[in-house]
Amino acid sequence: MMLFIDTVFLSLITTFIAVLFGVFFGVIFEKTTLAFKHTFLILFTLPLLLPPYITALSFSELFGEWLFSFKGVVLVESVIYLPIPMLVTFLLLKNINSSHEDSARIFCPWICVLQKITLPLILPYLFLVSSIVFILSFGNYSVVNFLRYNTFISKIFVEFSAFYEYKSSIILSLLILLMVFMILWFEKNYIKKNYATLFYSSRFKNKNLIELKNFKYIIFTFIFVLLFSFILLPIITLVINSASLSNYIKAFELVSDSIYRSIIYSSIGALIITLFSFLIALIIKRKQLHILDFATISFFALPSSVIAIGLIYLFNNSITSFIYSSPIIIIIAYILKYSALSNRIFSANLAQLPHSFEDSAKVLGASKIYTVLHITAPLLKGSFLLSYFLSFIFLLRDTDMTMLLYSAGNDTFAVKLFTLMANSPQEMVSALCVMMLLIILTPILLWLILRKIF
Amino acid sequence: MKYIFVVLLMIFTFNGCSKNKQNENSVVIYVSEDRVFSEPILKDFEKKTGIKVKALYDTEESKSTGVVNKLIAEKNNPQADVYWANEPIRAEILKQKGLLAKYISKNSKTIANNFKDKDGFWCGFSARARVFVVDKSMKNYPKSVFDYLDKRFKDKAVIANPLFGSTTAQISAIFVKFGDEKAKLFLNGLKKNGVKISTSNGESADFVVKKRYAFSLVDSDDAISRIREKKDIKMIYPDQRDGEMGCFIIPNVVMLIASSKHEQNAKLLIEYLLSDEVEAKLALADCAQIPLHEGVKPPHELKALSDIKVMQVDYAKLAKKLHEIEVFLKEWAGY
Amino acid sequence: MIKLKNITKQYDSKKLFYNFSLDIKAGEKIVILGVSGSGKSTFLRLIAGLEKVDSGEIYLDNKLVSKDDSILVDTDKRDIGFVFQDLALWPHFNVFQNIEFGLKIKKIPKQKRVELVKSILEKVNLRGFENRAIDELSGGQKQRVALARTLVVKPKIVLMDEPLSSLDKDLNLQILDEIFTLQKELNFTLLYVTHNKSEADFLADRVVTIKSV
Repeated sequence: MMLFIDTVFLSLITTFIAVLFGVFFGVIFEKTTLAFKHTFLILFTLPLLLPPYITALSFSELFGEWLFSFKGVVLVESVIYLPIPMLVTFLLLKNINSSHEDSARIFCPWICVLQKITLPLILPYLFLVSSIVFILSFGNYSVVNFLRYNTFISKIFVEFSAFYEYKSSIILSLLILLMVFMILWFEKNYIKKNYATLFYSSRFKNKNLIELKNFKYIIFTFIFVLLFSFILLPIITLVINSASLSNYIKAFELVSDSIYRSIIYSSIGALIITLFSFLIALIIKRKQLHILDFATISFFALPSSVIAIGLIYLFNNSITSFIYSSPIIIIIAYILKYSALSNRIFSANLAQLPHSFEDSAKVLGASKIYTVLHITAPLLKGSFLLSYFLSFIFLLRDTDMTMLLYSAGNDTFAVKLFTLMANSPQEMVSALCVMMLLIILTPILLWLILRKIF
Repeated sequence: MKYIFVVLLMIFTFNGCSKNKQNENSVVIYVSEDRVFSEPILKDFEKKTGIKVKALYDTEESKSTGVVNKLIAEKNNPQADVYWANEPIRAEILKQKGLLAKYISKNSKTIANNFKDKDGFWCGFSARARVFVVDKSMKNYPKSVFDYLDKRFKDKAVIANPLFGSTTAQISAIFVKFGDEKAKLFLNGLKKNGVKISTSNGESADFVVKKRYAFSLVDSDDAISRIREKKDIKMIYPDQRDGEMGCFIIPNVVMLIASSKHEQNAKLLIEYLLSDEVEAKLALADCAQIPLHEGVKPPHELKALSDIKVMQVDYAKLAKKLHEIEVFLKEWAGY
Repeated sequence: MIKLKNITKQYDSKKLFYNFSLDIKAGEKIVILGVSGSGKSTFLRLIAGLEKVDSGEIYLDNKLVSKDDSILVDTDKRDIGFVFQDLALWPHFNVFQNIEFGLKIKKIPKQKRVELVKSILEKVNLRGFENRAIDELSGGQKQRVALARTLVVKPKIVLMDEPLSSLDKDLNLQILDEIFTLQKELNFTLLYVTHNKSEADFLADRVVTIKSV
């Protein structure tokens, strides 16, 4: 029980720091005239792209023994998960009705408008995202294992991995479900009551950028120092450790087939998750079926190994072995595990849509499906894109579930990287890590281009 | 219509990605030995026989829930034909759960009885020794596993997490050899003497290389790889003096999975893995494994088994003991 | 045309309507007056089928459409138009696309749609505005687009929920006049919600005042 409470405390601190900095960066990168802000946005997203273990590894080269502590875990996890609240804040602020802020600007300066109007308006939605960050931190095993810090999840892991005790792992996982239930109860009774309709800017939409004036140099330097210390330097260390181009060539020869598989599984999985989550978010909103929210969050919170073993028992039989021995089982696992994040993104955005948008379509004779396809979905373009790319990233870097579910000879890049880590030369491992980063960066750049177009 | 097309395209793409075609001449092996060493061996088998090897690899134990869990979960409809474990306790656990089929390979006849299952469910090959890796600049070197408790080495030593891998096997061996009371005293003594717990043997070895700690018990392949990289460390065989228990040896182990779908090919693969040829390759490779077949040369940095005082163990008893000390180990590790 | 029989509707323990009945003839212009929170918008939503009555019956054109916590005829089948208080113009569609939406649902051919949209834009004095984005329009222009979108499908009943609340006085009168003219021309039954008595005086054949219980 103490271990559970300790882990909750660790996750709360991590979530607080990740959300604090994430919102700060989201505000700066969306609402100010800071130079290179979109470049900063991409770079701060980088730690999310790598398997958490790799980030911990690169930090350990820089920070040494100090990192192997409570503070170290908080630092690494905060850096890894900060991009989530940052990107969501960015999206929310992009869509906010500027007349809310304009009316406040009559009375007070920007700092006051942010404090009293903008941030309170988006706060309920940020809580939705914070609960995702909390659950990610709570359920993270690879970072705490690397940093040798015992948590509740490591206990479940030990039951599985050291002693093959599934029953006790499953019983321990019930505590996680209880925690999820409490989070959702709090959300329903205190947070969702405060949703405001923020949707879409007025015709003066781009005029609400904050001029930083004298503060621009201080803020720029502060952000750059953070970026360099916690993002760029670890990545540069990886690049330096990879030593030479020949390592990349050797690495590519080793992993080229698994890269192809990873991209296919992740692309298709992300698409299915995005569509599925949109549907679920719609059903939850229209039918108030909160049990679906509970289900998606529960699967998100459960240890990957519990889900994977469950799927093996369910699908590894003569009738469904065609599913089990194909990539379909991996896609199913991804949908179960990662729908919650996309669901939250859609839920936050759907809550912003005025009811009258759909009502007027209904009055004009549109069926429910027609309304969804032609009114609701197009208005959530940003959410579709964000959901797809976040899902793609999480799927591409997944190892725990994929390791247990992939069929022999069909490993993914993340799994191959992990299996090669043991006793491969350090330069090779570093080259593989850099390659993973490059592969994941490509859709990010694509996302930015698509955002400009749409 | 276009949605049906997209779904069909997805199914075809999946089929292209999935190489599990029923009519292929193939064998499925799950492997816990490090991929970087095992994969070349399996590729050689493919070239020699034309049998397609579909391999599924493990990570270091502490990083994932591992291949053994998958084998256990797949019990009712096994996907693997062969399992190549990197230590015998896993083999025993699988045997006790009824996942293995008996197969006595002709190549196993020249392997000593203490390195194979008496009932014929598994056979060892290519072993590692549990050795000390030591900072050369130290004045005093450890000579026995029990030197972890020596006050001269307070806060100076490290050991891999005893909940996983070869360290677990060795701890079980200590429990079996010396009894529960003395073994528990030993483990509690590690904590009192400030012994650091690392996540793996590799990490332990790196700590010693970086001079963060003076010595650690690791597998011989972890020591050899760093010696070959000319790191400032040396390797010591523990407990070689009279009256001491001897050096704990951990063989790789190969076994046939019960109800395997490609039994003939599986047996051929087992024969190959237990051959002199494979032992010679694994001895020469960076993993520097010690051959169990007589007449196969060990790596030049290591002694042949006949030249080491080997700890006499019954691996079946170790697996049983591990189950008995599970609760104690979890508490000791802080879970 | 519209018949409400013994309607009761409650929101969060507040009774908005209690055994309320009303008969409205075809082509009549009814203005619903009442203070904020008295239930005016709810009244329109009940007729549109966007809300259920707790008890009672609603008839449209002698057909029972809502009864006792059931919606018997869905909104899209009631042949009504609705101008919402916030206008609900879809920002991802331009003016043309907003207005043609209802025509597309009715599967009107493209050429005919273009004709009808141009014609209604002419009627609301927005000729040439087809390709304008919604967020480029002024308040009055948006109001006219919302009106055009509602009327282009020629509904028998038009519901308007405080459509002029955000406009200035001069514009109010102008738009009111346009609504009056369009109603005469197209002869739809109009239910118009406002808290402004002068709008009621200008427009109404009959005024129904809703008071809180």
